[in-house]
Amino acid sequence: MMKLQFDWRSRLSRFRVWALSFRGGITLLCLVGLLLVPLTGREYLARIVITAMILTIFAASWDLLAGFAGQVSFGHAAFFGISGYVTAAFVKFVGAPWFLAIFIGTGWAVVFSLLIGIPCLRLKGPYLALGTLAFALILYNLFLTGTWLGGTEGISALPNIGSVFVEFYIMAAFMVASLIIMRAIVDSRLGTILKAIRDDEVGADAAGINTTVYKLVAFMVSGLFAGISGALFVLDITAVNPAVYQPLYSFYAIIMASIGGIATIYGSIVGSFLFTLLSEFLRPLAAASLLIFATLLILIIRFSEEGVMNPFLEHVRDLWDKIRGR
Amino acid sequence: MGLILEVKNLTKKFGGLTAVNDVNFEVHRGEILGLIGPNGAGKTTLFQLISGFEKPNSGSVRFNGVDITGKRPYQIVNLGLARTFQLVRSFRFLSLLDNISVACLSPRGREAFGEVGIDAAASSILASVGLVDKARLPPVILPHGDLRKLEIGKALGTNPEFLLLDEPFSGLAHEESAGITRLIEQLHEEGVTVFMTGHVLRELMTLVPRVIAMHQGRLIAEGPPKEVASNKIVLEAYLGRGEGFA
Amino acid sequence: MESKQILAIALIIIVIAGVGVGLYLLLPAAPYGAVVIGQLVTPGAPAGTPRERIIVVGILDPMFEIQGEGAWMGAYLACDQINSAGGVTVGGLPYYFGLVAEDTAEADASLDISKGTAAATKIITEDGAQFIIGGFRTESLLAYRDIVMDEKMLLFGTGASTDIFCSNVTNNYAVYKYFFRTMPINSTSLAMSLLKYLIYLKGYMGAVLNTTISKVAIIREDLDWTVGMSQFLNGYLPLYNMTVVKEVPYPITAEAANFATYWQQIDAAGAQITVPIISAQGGILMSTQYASVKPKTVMAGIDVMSQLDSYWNETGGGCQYEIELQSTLRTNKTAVTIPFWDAFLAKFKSEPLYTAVGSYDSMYILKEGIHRAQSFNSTLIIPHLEDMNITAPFEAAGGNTAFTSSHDLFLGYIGPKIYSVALMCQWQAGGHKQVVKTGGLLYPDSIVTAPLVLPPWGINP
Repeated sequence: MMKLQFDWRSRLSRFRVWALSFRGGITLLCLVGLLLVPLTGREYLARIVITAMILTIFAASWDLLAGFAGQVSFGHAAFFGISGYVTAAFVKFVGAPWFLAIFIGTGWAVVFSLLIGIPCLRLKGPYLALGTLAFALILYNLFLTGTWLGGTEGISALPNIGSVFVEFYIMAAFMVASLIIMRAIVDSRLGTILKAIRDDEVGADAAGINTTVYKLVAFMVSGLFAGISGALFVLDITAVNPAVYQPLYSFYAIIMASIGGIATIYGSIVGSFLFTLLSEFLRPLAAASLLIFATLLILIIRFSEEGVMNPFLEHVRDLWDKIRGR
Repeated sequence: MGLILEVKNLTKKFGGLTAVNDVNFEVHRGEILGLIGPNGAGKTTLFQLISGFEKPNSGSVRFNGVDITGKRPYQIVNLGLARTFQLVRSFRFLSLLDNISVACLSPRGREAFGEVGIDAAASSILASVGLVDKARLPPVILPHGDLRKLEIGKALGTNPEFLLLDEPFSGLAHEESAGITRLIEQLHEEGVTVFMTGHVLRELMTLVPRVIAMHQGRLIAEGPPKEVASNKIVLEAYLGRGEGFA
Repeated sequence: MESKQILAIALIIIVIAGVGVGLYLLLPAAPYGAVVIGQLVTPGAPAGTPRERIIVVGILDPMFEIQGEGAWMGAYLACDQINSAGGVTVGGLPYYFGLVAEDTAEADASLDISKGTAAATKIITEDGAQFIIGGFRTESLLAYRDIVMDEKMLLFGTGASTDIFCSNVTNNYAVYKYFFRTMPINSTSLAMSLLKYLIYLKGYMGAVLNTTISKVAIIREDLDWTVGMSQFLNGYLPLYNMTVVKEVPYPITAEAANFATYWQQIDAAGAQITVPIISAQGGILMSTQYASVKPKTVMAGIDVMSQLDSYWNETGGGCQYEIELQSTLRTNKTAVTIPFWDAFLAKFKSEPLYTAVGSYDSMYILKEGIHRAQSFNSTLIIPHLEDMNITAPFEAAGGNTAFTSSHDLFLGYIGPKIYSVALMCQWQAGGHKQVVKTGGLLYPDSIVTAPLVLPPWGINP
């Protein structure tokens, strides 16, 4: 009992130190800001932030596989889609409650991550990317031509999991939990091994690491979180159709993770929010929005190879130090 | 004492080229054995075959009495046979400490150091290779000599009984070479068997009591370094004079 | 950061902003009915009408594609007309219509349905739409329809033909009763209409050419929706002594499918009638090659691109003799069809697409519903829309609109009263599209505008 209390106290004091640090402070401020969104009462804002939060998990799951394990996937939509479909099917046809359906859908995503991971293990670099892309396209076409699970129309009219604002907090909880877990994984021993495989697979092999098993573990963990995001996406939209397997979603993940900064996990938040909110707010500009959007993306990629999050935070920090220094 | 490594009739062909041709030799537990030969003699290929990165066309490798021919590299490492590479390999974005930790996280490393002792073990290995003051740095900013030390440190992380060192002195200045030599001697004293290559004989001379020489994929001589170095065939091989040449 | 850098960035921003404003000022005045996104427009409403007297109708569609533009133009014209005529009077006060549009991007090759749901949420919660018109792609509409239904808000479908929207009304009336389809006719009826016309054509051509017409070819893009249509024809045509002698499914991804070869193959198979089932650009190449190969067969089927008036020029007149299925043309479907057609042509300088007819009619149907219910509450308006039935249809441009129990369009005609029927239209000399006879199988001969013309190079024996 004593020990437990002591532990709590040390954790609390560590939290205090973190919260008062620059990064901790910014994180907490952003989190509080996020949780205040529903208080504006604007459903539209809440809905697009929900989408951004779901895609954050998705982009982070891609970042975990590509940025940390070095396995660049162009077919992440496969995990996203299969989980979405299974979740929708269980909610619609079995009447499972949504939180149970998420588990089942995510489980399927993990199984598929193995199915895709095993044959793709021997592939490297662009070949791996194309291999995973091919898998997603196969699923897309299977569901498009097949008549099961609703054929081209997919599964629709799923029940809402709550009002938009209730949903908002559920999604926020999922996002925060997923990101913390993913960050903990990449900071753990497992993360160190994955990074080693990314940096030099032969070297990792020579260091006695069974790279096959660890790459599969990376695929599974990534598939798990991609699955969670797919399930949440479908529950939010209340419908699913073969379009979830499109390369579009895989590229969303890649673009978002790249904007925020690869191999950061938290960069996905910045990338996803920037991407989603910007494309929504440019809506009234009609056709010009695409042009502006593309220009911004090119600028970001051109001038910030490591994404926008870390350089931005450093600049803000410099500014902050200057202000405090004066 | 006894044998730790037995190589029998080992042959490896790449297309029409026989890189390793019917090679037989043994390594005794606790010894330091040198492997010399000119560039292209097949030294690195022999190491690749022993460490499992290449599969032989025929022949066998036994380590501690266990046939390891055709096993995957990480399996061989976890049996206690670790290696370094001629071209240094490092995990570029990991700190030096984590570079070593990865090896300590191999099943054999975990067994030796325990789950909780991994950081401590990695630190002490870093200290023993003389890099402890750079523990938090990434390898990309290190000079070549330090990378060589790191290379050996990574191998040590797997708690090896047997070390294959592929050209550990390559590209090093004399003082740096001396540091590596001391390190190898120290390992030898701790009971690690060492099998190393070098194409510069001078460095091996002081360190190695016994060498084997390779030329064009075959073993051509064996014995104390001085003897082998004065061997006619070896000299011709190094000087590039075949018997038909004048 | 250096202060110089800050200055440079500030300067760049100022320059960009200046250029932007300059461009904006130099832009030509928007033409009549130009699409605007997320902004309320009230064409025809008296200046200074207070916001609370505006009934906001939201258009949800792919706004930068012809379907969305069509829906906007149709609604815009109706809005202008209704407002100019005094709006709608509820509780003794005049109310005027306003339009607001959001882009659902649902026609994009890569579909992101979350764009549709975001658009629906925005149009309802931010733009203040009280009623919705639109919908094009089934998968997308299925998702954002639920958002509209949750708001208990009327949704007039003007683009999606899938049966599921109306069958959902039957299955779960309490939730989906807010959906009404005003365009197009559902996919089952579309196939049925086509079959009926082929039966008529067989008889007509047989009599005129004094030969037996029995050989049919099908040329279709290899997509899911054409598979079902093809299976339907393959199943039913033999019952009417017609056989499919050649079927060409061409991959839609192929940049230039070799239609010349297809036409030679179809001609060689001896097909007398060729049924195209095409929605995409492939139709243009098909019609062009038809004119150059001159196969002894007549085209009659579905070719969505040929519904556009630009099709004649795009095919260089190659579409002459092609018969295609279309919802509306300048003919007396009802008394309002021709006035609508002419007004549309005068305002927009182009013929209305089916989504334009659908949204135009939806506006008038909505206005009538509001007038009868004397309320803006969708739930209260529904019974009055359901009253628009076979016995008391609403006279709209696309036909006399009568809703079935599943809120779908009632098809066919009773006596002189034409409901929502598909028209068989033929491209004839000079680029004029004419409504041709169906022997009364689809619609009465009274709305036919010209006799059928067979290709002069003959028909296979």
